[in-house]
Amino acid sequence: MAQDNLAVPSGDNKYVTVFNDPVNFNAKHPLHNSWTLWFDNPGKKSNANNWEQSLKELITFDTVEDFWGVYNNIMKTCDLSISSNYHLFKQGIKPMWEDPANKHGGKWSIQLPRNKTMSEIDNIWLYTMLACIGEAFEHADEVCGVVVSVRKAFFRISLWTRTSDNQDVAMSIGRTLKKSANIDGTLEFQSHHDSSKSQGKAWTV
Amino acid sequence: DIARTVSAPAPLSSARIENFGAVSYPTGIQSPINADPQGKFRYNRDFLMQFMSVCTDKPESLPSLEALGMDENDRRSQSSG
Repeated sequence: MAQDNLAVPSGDNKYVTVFNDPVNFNAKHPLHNSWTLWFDNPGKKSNANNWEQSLKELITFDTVEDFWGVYNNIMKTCDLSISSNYHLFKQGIKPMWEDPANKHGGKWSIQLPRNKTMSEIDNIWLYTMLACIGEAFEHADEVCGVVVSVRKAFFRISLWTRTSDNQDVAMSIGRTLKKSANIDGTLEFQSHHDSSKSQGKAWTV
Repeated sequence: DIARTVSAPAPLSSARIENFGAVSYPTGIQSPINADPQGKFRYNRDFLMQFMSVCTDKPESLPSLEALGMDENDRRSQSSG
């Protein structure tokens, strides 16, 4: 927050970025948050109800460079098998309702028909993640994480929020998500509490 | 300890950039334009996309695709879903 002049190299001794020298760079672009990528494919296990066991924490990163190193070395969404999910959450938040950060929250989500979205889903998911790591959201502290789910008939994109009782905040996040990820369609917001029961009132963007 | 890391830059020691004024990007590379006045690191999509083709090395701590049950067979067996 305060100027930290100690951290600035003096004279010609500047940072060498990956653009200046892709091999011998000495400085990376920090992210505001550390993010953890999770993957699960419960459908592959015989006991599909044990979801938590199939959930795998892949890696945590906190720089732009490391994000891309991860992204470029995992499967694209369009190549994942049915019932798989990627979850990108802030470090320390588990991608499940029970986590204290999610408990009172909700999610924006949209189901995109598989046949119509196959060619776009990789970019939609990528842009969703970039909006998170780049801190595109005005109320960024409200964002817990994002999920892409691969299903037989659709892909679902979800963004999980920390709270679910402030419509202005929720709407702002929903609008930014829709715009950032080039999503064509209507996103719906529901609190986790509502969606675990019957239909609650839904906000849409 | 950030200062300590930056004051002795060695190849691949990869310090975290603290001051974008001290970075000179090559011609054709867009600088981060929405630097946040509150010292928060914010990057727009166009800026971030520039790294896509440059940062391709697999992080050492990333599990293999096989370990994740994400092998190439998935890709083939699933063509027209």
